[in-house]
Amino acid sequence: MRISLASILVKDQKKALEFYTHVLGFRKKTDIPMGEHSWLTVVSPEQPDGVELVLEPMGFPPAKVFQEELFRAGIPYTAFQVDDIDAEYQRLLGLGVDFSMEPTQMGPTKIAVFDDTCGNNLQIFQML
Amino acid sequence: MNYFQEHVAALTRQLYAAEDLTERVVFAKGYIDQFYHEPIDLGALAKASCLSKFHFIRVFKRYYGQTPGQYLKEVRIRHAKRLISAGMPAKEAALEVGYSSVSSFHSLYKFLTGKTPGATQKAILENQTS
Repeated sequence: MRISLASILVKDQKKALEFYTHVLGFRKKTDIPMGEHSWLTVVSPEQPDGVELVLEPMGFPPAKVFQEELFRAGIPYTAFQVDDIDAEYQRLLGLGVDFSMEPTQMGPTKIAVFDDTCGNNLQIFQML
Repeated sequence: MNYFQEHVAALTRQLYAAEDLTERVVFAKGYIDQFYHEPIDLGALAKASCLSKFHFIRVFKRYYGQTPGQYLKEVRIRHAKRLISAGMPAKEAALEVGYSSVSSFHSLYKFLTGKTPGATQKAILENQTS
């Protein structure tokens, strides 16, 4: 058994694709129209054959409540690893990304949290 | 401060109260990250971190989930994989990342990556030609 997909709920797939590719730097892997939405996935350019992140449309109303409460509490929906969090923080700030937590050391890791503009907080972390 | 930030601050205080210890362990990992290709004496590294060897190994494992020796192997093999994927012969890559014995490098490489160095190179070549 292997983990090949992970998903994140997004309010708007088109906007999400824009943010996850042009701002975060991921690449679109699959885009298959399915009714009013798409089966839409992105991958890291560093691991093009690695885990695909599904940008999942909000099709189930209770999920909206869950997402909103998670966002309000500042809890990240998921986390991505980076090699240099301070450089990544500066790069994303320069692109207008809104951070709720600046790079903060927590023992042997450093974490930061930002708004993905699609309803989620995302965390980036570096192993120091 | 939101719920998550408070939670992180509380966890940091609880799990990593000894800041100087964190600094020393992070220093040791940084040393491995930087000098993995040179002979690294873990006893000396423990000493440089002002810790006894056994305490150093225990603390490093608590912070990073593996012993410094295991971590050093992983870093060397990760760099070797990058070199081999870029076309460097396995023997050369082994020396480049700090291994003097090519046979122990081969078995460790396979153990950690699931493939032999030759199979890595073959897969890359096939990917490039397809």
